[in-house]
Amino acid sequence: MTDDVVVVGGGIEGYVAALTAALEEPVADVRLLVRDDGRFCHEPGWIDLLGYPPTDGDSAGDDDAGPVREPLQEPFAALSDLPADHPYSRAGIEEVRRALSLFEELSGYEGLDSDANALVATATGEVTPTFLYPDSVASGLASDDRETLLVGFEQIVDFDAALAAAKLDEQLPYDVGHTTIELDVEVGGAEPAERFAAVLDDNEELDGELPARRAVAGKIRNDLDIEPRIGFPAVLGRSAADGVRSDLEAILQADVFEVPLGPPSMPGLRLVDRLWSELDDAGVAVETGVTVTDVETADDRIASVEVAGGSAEGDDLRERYEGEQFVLATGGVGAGGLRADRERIREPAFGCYVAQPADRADWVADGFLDDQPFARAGLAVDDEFRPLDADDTPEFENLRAAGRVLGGADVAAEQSTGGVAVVTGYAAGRLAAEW
Amino acid sequence: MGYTPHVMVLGGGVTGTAIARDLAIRGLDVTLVERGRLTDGATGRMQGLLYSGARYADADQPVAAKCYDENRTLAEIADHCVEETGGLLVPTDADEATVESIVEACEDCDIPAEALTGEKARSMEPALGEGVEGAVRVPDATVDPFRLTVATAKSATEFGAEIRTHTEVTDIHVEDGAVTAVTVEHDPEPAGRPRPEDSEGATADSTSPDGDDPDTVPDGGKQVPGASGGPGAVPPGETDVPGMPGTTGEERPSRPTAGTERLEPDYVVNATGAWADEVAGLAGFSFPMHRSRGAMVVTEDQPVGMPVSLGATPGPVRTVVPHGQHAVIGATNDPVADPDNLDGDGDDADRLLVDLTGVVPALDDSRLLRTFWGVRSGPPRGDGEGRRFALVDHADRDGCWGMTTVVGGTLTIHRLVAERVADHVCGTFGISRECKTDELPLPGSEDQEVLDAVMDTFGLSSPVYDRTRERLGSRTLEVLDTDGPNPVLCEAESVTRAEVRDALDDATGEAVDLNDVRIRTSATMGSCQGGRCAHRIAAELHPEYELDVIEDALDDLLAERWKGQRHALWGDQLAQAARNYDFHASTLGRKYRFEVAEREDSGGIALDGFDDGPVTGGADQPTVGWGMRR
Repeated sequence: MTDDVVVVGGGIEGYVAALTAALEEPVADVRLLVRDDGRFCHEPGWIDLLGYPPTDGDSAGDDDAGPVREPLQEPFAALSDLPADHPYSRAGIEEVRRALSLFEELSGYEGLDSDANALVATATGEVTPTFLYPDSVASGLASDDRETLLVGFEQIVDFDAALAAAKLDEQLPYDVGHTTIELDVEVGGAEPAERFAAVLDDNEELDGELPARRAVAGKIRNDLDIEPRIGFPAVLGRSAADGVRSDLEAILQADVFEVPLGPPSMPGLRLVDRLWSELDDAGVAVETGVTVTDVETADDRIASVEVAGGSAEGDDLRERYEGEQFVLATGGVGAGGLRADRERIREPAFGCYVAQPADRADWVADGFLDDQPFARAGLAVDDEFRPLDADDTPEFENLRAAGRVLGGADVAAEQSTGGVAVVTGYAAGRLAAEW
Repeated sequence: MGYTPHVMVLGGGVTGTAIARDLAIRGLDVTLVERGRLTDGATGRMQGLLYSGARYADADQPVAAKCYDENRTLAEIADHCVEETGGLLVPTDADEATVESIVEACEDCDIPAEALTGEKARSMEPALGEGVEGAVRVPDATVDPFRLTVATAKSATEFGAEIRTHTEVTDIHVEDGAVTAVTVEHDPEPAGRPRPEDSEGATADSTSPDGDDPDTVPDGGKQVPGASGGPGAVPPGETDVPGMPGTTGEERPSRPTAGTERLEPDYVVNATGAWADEVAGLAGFSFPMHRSRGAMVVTEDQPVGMPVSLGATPGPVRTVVPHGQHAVIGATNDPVADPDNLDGDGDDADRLLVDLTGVVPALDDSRLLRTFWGVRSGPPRGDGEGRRFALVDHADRDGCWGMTTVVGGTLTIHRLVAERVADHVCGTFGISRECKTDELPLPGSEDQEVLDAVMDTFGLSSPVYDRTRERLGSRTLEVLDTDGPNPVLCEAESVTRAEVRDALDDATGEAVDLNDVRIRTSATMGSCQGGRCAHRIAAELHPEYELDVIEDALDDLLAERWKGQRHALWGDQLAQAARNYDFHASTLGRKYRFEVAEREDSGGIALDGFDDGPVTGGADQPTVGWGMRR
C-alpha cells in the first residue's frame, strides 16, 4: 500500500512529525517507522527552547564561551538573533509558537504561558534553563523560591541527594535540605530506576508490610520540616506516576517533584507512552523494531523504503513501504541517525549529504565539555526542511528532515534539544501533509 | 658492617618497586619515592605482554633463554597477576624468520614452541584471518602491570620498606665526590599535576610498549651473573591464587604534608626509567638515553583469546593482547624527546589497525575505547640491535660514590634487572645475602572456595562479584562487608560503591585524585568512559571534601577519560561520546554555570524574570499552612 506520509525515526521529532501530519490532514495515511524506545530513555522529559545564545559555530572549540554564562530569560526574544541556518530560523518564530502549542496540548506539559525560561535543578545539583516541563517537574522549579527537601534512595546512584542539596543550597536564595533513605527493594540484575518505578507503580508491599508509597513517605517524615516541596530522583513510577506522586503528596502534605536522571529516564519513557496513545487516537500506523535497509528512488523522489527487523529471531522480516512524502527523523550521532566511519560522518538511511569538518581530527574539541563540532554536524536543509546536497540542491523532492539529524546548531550546548525536535518535527510533518 | 644501609630508590614503576622489594628482603632499609602514583610512568602504559622469548630465539639465544626463565618465574610468584594464555607469532613476508626457523631456534633455547599450519592456528585462535598461512604457538602470557607493581610494593612494605608516592625528587646533593642527600618535594595536590598522558593503570586498559624490543640482554656497565635459582619454592597451596589486594594501604604508610624534605640515604638507586637522565642531571651527571613512544589502542571487545603478534623477529611488531573484557593493540614506535609529552594524533590508531586487520580481521569492526602513548627507554642504541638494560654506577662512570642508575629492561625481565641492581648495591656494602625474589610469592593469595561460598552474602550478582574478586583477591570480603546497600556505580566494569569507598580511603588521603580510584577499581574504564558513572564516583567524595574540590576532581577524571578517547572517535564510540556530551551538557546542566559568587549579597542566583511555575501546587493537598505555596 502507499501511505501519504512515512516518518522514519522514533525520537520526539518523529512522533511530533507523524502526529502533526495526521492532525493537520485527518484524511492522510500516516505511518511511523520506529526502531525502539531507546531514544526516550535518554530524554530528561523537559523541553528546552533556547537556554543560551549559541556560540559561533565556525570556530567551535576555539571560541568556547567558557563555563560561566547567564541563561536567557526570554527565549523568544533571542530567536530572531539566531543565524539563518539555525533550525529555528528555517521554521520562523510563528512556527515555533505553533509547534510548542501543539506539543503542550499533546503532552500536557506546562510552561508555555509564561513565555520565560524556567530554571530546573539537575541530578548533580546544577541549575539549568528549560522551557516546557511535565507535571512531575512543575512544583520543583529552581526558579520557584520555595524551600526544598531533596530525597535520595541509596540504590539510585545517579542522584546523591546530599551532594545535590549542598550545591543547590549554595547557589539558590532559599534553603535546600536533604535526606537519603534505603528501601527494601531487591534490584537484582535489573535497572534500578525501572525496578523502583515498577515497585511504586504497583504499590508493592515492601518487607511484607507497608505498601511502597507509604513506606517511602514514612521514611521521610522525620526529616521533613516545613519545606513545602520534596524532590525525588525520577523513579516515581511509569504507568501510574500521577498516582504515585499524588499519594506521596497526600501523605506528606507537600508538593512532590522529580529530578531527571540518565538512561533509562522515566520522564522520557512516560512522554513516549503519552505520545504513543496520541498516535493511536490520531490513527497513525506505527511499525516498531525496524530499521531502514534500502531506499528506492525515481526522478529525484523517494518511492519507497525497505525496512528490516521486527522479529526476535533476527532481521529476517523485511517490508517495503511506498509513500508520497517522507520525513527523516532518525536522530544525530548519539542516536545512530548519523554514523561515522574513520573518514566521514554519514547519514545511513537515505545517504544524504552531511555538513561536517573535513578532517576527523576536527570533529572533536580538546575538552569534553568544550563546544563539540560533532554535535553541530548534520544535514543542511532549505526552508521546507528538505535536505540539501553539497551543491545546495534538495537531495529529494519529497524528503524532509527533522530533529537531531539536522546540522547548524549544537542543541545540547544551547539547551534547545527538545525545542528543535518539536519545532522541526512539527514543520516537517506539516509540510509533508500539505504537499 | 655494624649498621644497616639506608637505600633510597627513585621511581615507582615495576622496576623500582622490584628493587625496593629485593633490597628489603635482603634486610636493607629502603625508602622508595615516586613523583606521582605507582606505575605513573612507562609501567602504567604498556600492553601487558609477558614475553616467552621465542621472538629472539633466533637472533639472541641468551636473551631468549633469560626471557623464558623470567616468564616462568613470574607465572609462579605472581600467578594472580599473570594469565598463562599462550600466544601466537605470525611471521610476515617481511620477516627473515619462518615458522620452521623460529621453532628450531626455540628448541635450542629450551622454549616450548609448536609450528602450526594456518588451519591449525585458526582452530586455536578463531580470530585469525584466512590469509594466515602459518604461526608458532609460544608460551607468551598476559600480565597486569599495575596489579603486579602494587603487589610488589605491598611485599616490599611487608619487609619493611617505606614507599612514598606523590613525592618528587627535586635535588640530589653531591659533596666531595659522594652523594650526600636528596631533596624531595611532597605534592599536596596530585590531582593538579600535569601528567605526560593518560596513565592507564594495570587493568584492561594497560599495555606494554615493549612491542618491538627484545627482552633485554645484560650488557650494561656491570657484569652480572646469569639468571640462577629458577622457578620453584612456591608451596603447592599457593599456586592457585585468585587475586591480589588491588589496594595498597601499606604502599604509602606515611603521608607527609606539602613541602620539601631533605633525606640523607647511604645510597641512591635511580630507577626512574624514561626520566633517568633528568634525575641523574640533578646530581650533575650527563646521561645520554634512547627514548621512543608507542601508541596503543584499547578495544571495547576482546577480539582474541590469546596474544597474537604480527612480525616474528626483533624489530617493529604489532600485537593484540587480550585483557579482561578488552584487548590492547600496539604498538607504534617513534622517537620522542620529552617523556612528559608523548601524545601523537589519530593517525597512530589508523596505522595500528591497517597493519593488524589482515591478521585479525575482526579488529575492523572493533569499537575503540581509547588511544594512549607509552614510552620506551634504554641506553643509547649503538648498532641498532635492540635495546639493552644498563646498570651504571656513577662511582665508576663519574667518579662520584653513592648512586647507581639503571635504565632499560622490560616488564618481563624486571625482576631480574632488580636482582642485578640489588646484587650490586649489596656488593657495594659488602653484604652477601642472596636474592630471594625468584622464589618468594607476592602477596594476594586466598582460598578461592572460601570466597565463592560467601558471595551471596553481599547480594551481588555473579559477574559483579567475580570482577570484584579479580581486582581485590583476598581483600574482597573485607571491602564488601559494609552496612546497607552496595549498589553498582560503574556497570561496565562492575564496580560497587563499597569498592570505590575503599579505594578512596586507601588512595587519596588528604589529596583528591579520582584517577587513582579509577586505576585501583577500573571504574570509568568501560565503554562509556565515565560519561555515565564519573559523577557517581565523584559523589562519593561528599561530604568529606569541599564542593569545589569535588567538582574539580570530577572534571579532572572526565578530562583524563576524554584525552584518551578523542583520537579514535568514530562508529559506536563517537555515538557514545555524543550521548555523554548530551547527558552532561543537557540533562546534568554541567556545561555552563551561573556566576554565583558575585551575588552573595542577594543570597544566590537571581530568580526574577524566570518562570516560577504554574499557579497551583498539588491539587489534593489539605490547606494547612506548610502545604501551601508561599
